[in-house]
Amino acid sequence: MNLVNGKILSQSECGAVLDTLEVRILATLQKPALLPETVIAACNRLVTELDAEYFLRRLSELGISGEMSRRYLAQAQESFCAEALRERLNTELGEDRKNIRPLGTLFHIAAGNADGLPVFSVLEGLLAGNINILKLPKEEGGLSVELLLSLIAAEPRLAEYIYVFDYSSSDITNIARLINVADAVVVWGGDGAVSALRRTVPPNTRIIEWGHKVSFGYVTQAGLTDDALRGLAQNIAETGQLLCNSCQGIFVDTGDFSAVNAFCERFLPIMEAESAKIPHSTEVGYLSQLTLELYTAELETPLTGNRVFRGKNCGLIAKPSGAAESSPAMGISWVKPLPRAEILQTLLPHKNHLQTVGLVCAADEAAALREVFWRTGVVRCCSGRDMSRFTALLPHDGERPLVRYTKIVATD
Amino acid sequence: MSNTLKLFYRRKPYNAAETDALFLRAKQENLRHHTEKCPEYAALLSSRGFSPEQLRDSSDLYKIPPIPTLYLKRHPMYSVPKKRLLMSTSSSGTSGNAVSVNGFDLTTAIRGAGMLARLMLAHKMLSLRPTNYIVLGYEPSRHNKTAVAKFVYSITFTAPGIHREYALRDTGQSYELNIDGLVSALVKYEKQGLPVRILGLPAYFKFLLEELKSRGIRLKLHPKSLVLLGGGWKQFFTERLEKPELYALTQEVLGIGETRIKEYFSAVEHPVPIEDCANHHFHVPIYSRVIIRDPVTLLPVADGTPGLLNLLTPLMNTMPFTSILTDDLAVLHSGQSCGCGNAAPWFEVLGRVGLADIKTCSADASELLTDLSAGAK
Repeated sequence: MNLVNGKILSQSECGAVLDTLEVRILATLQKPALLPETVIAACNRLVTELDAEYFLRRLSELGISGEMSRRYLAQAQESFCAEALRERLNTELGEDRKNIRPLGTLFHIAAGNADGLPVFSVLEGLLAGNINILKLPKEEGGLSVELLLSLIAAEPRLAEYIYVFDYSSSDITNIARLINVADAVVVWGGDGAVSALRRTVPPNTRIIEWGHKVSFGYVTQAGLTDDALRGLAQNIAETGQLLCNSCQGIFVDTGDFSAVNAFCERFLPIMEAESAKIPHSTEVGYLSQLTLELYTAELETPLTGNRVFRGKNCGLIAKPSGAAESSPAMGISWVKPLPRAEILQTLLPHKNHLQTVGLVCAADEAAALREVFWRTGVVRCCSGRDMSRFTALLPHDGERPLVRYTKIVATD
Repeated sequence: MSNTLKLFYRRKPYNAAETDALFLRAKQENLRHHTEKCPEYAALLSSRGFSPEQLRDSSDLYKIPPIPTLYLKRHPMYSVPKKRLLMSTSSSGTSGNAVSVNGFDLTTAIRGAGMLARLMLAHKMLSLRPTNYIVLGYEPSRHNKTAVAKFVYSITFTAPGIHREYALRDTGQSYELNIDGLVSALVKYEKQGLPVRILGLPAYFKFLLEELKSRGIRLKLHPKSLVLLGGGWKQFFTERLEKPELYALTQEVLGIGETRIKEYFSAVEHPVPIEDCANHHFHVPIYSRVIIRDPVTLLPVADGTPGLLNLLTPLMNTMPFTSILTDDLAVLHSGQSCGCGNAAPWFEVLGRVGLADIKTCSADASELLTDLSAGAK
């Protein structure tokens, strides 16, 4: 779906818009600046007047469980109400913002893994006063445009600050035209996307990169409780391991592979119990993919030395060594030994790729472990349960987005 | 003559029951060859507690450990020295994943030639009538090794080609979408009054029809024209349900009836093109056997029960593609239940494993990479 000036356009109508995009943007820039209060009021109306039932139904159509949808909704309402947004502006940009200006036009290339993320990215751009062009991820489902339309309905002045185009990433010609009108390209994606963009984006256009990051759990013997493990399992099951802050695997504070196997035996039933709560866990498509992944891993064990723990609707792959990596998702986590003395040397080579650590340790171990993880490049430590908790004030990947979407101007 | 060669040069490409014994002997030969020539494959079989001697009867075929395509992508295995490979193809890497590679040597090519000739005769694909082609895919070139591109190109020799128009035209550096070229070629082909063969991915074909319709173009192509669709519905899983609609649209826009629309099923790791019958069902030719496996236990399931599609063929000499576990979900039906007269069992592909719409940011990224770098080339 394409959205221009508050109207849904067909793909063929977009051509004409692209031809006049620079003129349109120029016209918007000649008007008085977009004030944060205008955006705040619109967001506040959006979240307070949101038809919750409809929204939950739409999320369930996208395959998100009821409990998770309700949590999404609550988090969105909490994060985008007027009070939270004002606090966020003050925290990120300071209370005195007379020298702060928007970058101008942002081109957002959103990822398809986090539901609603394309909208959040645009909202942040608006809050910083920018014109926003959004390239929808593939198979987006239409929710982003619906939400943006409601936002424009709440504040029609925002219409000219929001463009959504449904061009595929392979449509190089049109993507290049969108990049050309932007002051900065905001990309949510992995190394591949970022390096491809670095080759494509002209030097006078900034690239603002978020994700792809790897997050994981770290477990010490002293911190092992079923409840803490259940927290990790909940994160793995509920997020489907699809988010940058989802737990991909678990390091055990040991140098002994048999301790890793023992951990797997204890963790697997906890993981099974949490996975069973996910609505799609019994679907034939899901089970088949899970079986294929685990069976392939089993076939590989003579080559890898790994051990596969097959669960009913999830699985664990114990690996004798190695650093943080993505999991095959589907509730399959890796489990590896990593004695605390080796954390820094093992993880440091993965700088800028690590994000959140779900710490399962005794209270008196936490501070020292966190200090080591900060040095590896990790930007967030929390309980397993809170790894993917989203709040407006949380920085992205260790940075404040509004700072990156603005500039500081100076006069004599 | 080896049993394997006998199988691939049998006169009739369907009739599983009569060829069961021959298929078994060919499979035994093929297994022995791969275990002797490919130590990695031999090790893999023994790690699963299987040895070729356990294959004594057709009912033992399921015991050959099926190898997931995922495994073959990560660990390519060869049973001949690589220098004996005549050509190789790769899968299209649809979801940004690793691609599988398949190499043909002379032995495999000779088997394949027998099979293709029989299949094309059986499906009345060969024609001496001059024909125009629309290829809904890449123009062949040095920088494209996908199996789809090569297979589709080879099909353009099944009838003498007058002209070929490609949906993705090679500009020397990259490919460009050639919708206008396709449309004007079709209009020209209609005037010439020669049969037209349209080849390629179903999704592209549907897109072409919609484009023609939106431009108000209605054609009446030669009655001997043929639409040959293959390469899978892949991400277009849900659109499978719209097949009857596609047939109707083809009739409306191109004047080609349903009986002239054929579909084939193939995989890089199982390069036997399986063509559909008049009822659009994929009957299993004598060169292959199909086992449907339980999504959890991987044991064979009864006809009519959905599960993972496992394909077996003794075609390949170069790589141990003996028993391949695809990531497709399918159902097997008895031949009689089709009603087209072909008694060979037929299968129905239900779609890919996994949940539709599930995507990690890394997967999304690699797609962007493929897309952007394909464009940047």
